[in-house]
Amino acid sequence: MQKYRIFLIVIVLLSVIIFPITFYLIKNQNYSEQISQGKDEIEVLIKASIDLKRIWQSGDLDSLWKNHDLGCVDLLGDPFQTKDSYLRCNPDFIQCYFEHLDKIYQPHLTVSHKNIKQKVYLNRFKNKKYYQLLTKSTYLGKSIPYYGIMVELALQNNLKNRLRFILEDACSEVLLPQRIYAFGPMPKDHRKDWKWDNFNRSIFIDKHLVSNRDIREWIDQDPNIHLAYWGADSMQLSDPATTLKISEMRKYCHFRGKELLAAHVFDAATFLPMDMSNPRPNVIIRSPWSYSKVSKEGFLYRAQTDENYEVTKTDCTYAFTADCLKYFKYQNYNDWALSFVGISGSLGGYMEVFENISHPDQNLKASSFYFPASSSVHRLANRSYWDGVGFDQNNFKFSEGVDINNLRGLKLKVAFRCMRYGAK
Amino acid sequence: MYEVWGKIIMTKILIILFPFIFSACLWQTTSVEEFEYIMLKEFVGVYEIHLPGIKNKNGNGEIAGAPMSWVTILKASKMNSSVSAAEYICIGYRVPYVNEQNNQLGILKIHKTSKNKCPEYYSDELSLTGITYLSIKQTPKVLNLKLMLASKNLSKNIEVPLYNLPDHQEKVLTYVTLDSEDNLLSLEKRTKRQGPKSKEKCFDINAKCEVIKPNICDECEFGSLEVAGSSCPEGGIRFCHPVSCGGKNMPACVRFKKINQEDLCYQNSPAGFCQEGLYAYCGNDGYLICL
Repeated sequence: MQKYRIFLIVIVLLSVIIFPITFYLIKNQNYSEQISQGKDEIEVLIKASIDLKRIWQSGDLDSLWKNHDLGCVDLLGDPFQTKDSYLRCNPDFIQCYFEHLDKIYQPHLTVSHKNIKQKVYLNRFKNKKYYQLLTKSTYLGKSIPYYGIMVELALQNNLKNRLRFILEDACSEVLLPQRIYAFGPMPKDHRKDWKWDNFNRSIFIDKHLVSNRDIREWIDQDPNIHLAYWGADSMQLSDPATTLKISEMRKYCHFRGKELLAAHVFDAATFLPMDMSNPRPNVIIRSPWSYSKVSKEGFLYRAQTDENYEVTKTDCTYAFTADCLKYFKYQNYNDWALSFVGISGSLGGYMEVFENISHPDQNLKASSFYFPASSSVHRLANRSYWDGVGFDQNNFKFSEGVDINNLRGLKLKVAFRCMRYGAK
Repeated sequence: MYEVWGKIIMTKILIILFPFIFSACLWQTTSVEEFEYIMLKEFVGVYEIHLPGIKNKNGNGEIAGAPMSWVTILKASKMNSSVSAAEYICIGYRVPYVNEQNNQLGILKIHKTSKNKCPEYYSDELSLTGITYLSIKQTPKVLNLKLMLASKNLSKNIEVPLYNLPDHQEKVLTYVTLDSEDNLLSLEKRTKRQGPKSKEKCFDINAKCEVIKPNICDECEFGSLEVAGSSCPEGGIRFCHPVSCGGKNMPACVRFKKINQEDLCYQNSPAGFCQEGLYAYCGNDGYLICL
């Protein structure tokens, strides 16, 4: 009996010592595993964020939209009428792309970490979207970009960790090189040339014209915006917005933290510098064509001096004039009539309005598909006037000698783009 | 008789409680791994770091101070999860006091606050104890904490990647936070009362280039406009948009900007331009006005 009692005490004492140590070791091991898992999770989420950034910046790399695999015609429009650069830094593409993956039960992102493939998912926000649109006009905070989206990534079977980050629009603007520029057509006496410079400041210009999609997004986030001529029906979303009054255009640009493109900045971005290596030229010689340094060269020169000149399809990529409509329709987000800084539509395409402080009666780039290549409107800095209110012919004033007979009865379309001044 | 029974009962209670007391003793401190994990999580969104504890920046980064005193070794800024305000992380270090009679080891503590100030005394729960040596170094990409623990007599390295610092930041991508879903705040839209108002001066500077109002133009709802006539390295006076330039009684539009402190605010200064028929004059506020 006594031996049994001693044996029992030893057992109890041993179990009293072994129990907490075992408990500690098991718990410690679990905890260490949890910590190690947590560290791995962070690395996986960071890797996934870089993958998502690539999708945001590059757009439809797998040609899903072009091949009609995404659907989403209501969000993205018809792929045959738009260049796929439209999908770069486009929140609608992000929405569409990940909804598509949901439909086919694919993980949103797959990240390889320590030779194991990890599935990472984008969370939906309260509005059922995979992103939250961020602009300085809608949210206040240091990291709020002029335009971007906030997204949230999570791992499957995770420790409830969520990685929140902002993807900023880095696709839609070009930076004007810092140098001395001239404004308007080249005067006969170069001493009378109006010069300016952007040393010590950065000027960002929209690469493409503001699209219907951009305007729809703007009015969707503020029910107080009422546009006079806006009709959302049957519009191609990627097409330039061409029914806004100039006051509405200014408001839109402000919403994106920008302002309506100024005429002198457009000239700076489109006149081809004779010597890019010299940012401080004494005399600024310029040709009226954005694609050539020589005035008496190129298809527009030939079309304007030879009435028998036949515009070719290739010519249309340098300036989309009325002659080009027989070949194909104008597409926004293309690289046609690209200037030396990379803005599209420097000649031809849509008419475009500017802010022209010094000469308010010269606020319109009339060079567009309304006029044949033989028309003198197709010259840089040869500006016309739009009153900024209506779209009938009497709301416009074109230079003398410009044939406007074919414009009678038409509602003319005027597009626009924005710019912003950044820190140096 | 009662005494004997009392002792037996007490012994039994102690035996029952022993595992729990023993476990609690084993669990009271944070491990280096846990501390490192917490730092990795917290520092994902950090966009600014100060290391006030290091006196000699070129040295080995060793943290020194009066024994048993609290030293703030790091202050970092990040956005809160709703991106509406900044959040600050302070790391405090209680300098160890070790000699033959005393053995008070160093303690590291993390303190999170919405105030732009670190505490004098760290009373936070989250701590790493038993430290005999600590050094801290920061490169543009990594924060490195080197510490020596008394218990293991081993040096430990904590390396924290700094994804969000301007030098290392992925262009386009800004990390906000990494947190449990329960702690994430939803975004709140800007109200009219927040931030500087439209047409309000968001940056003011005088002709001597003395800043009168610090730059808060980043908070303007629609961006901002710099007026012409300044040549300060900090830039000219700015107003929140929508503001026009070049019209009558309006600021002149910028034609060029110098940063050599040359006075550009004078009548017909070429630094600004106006509508046809108007001329630039230097206004009372020190920038060009069109009249």
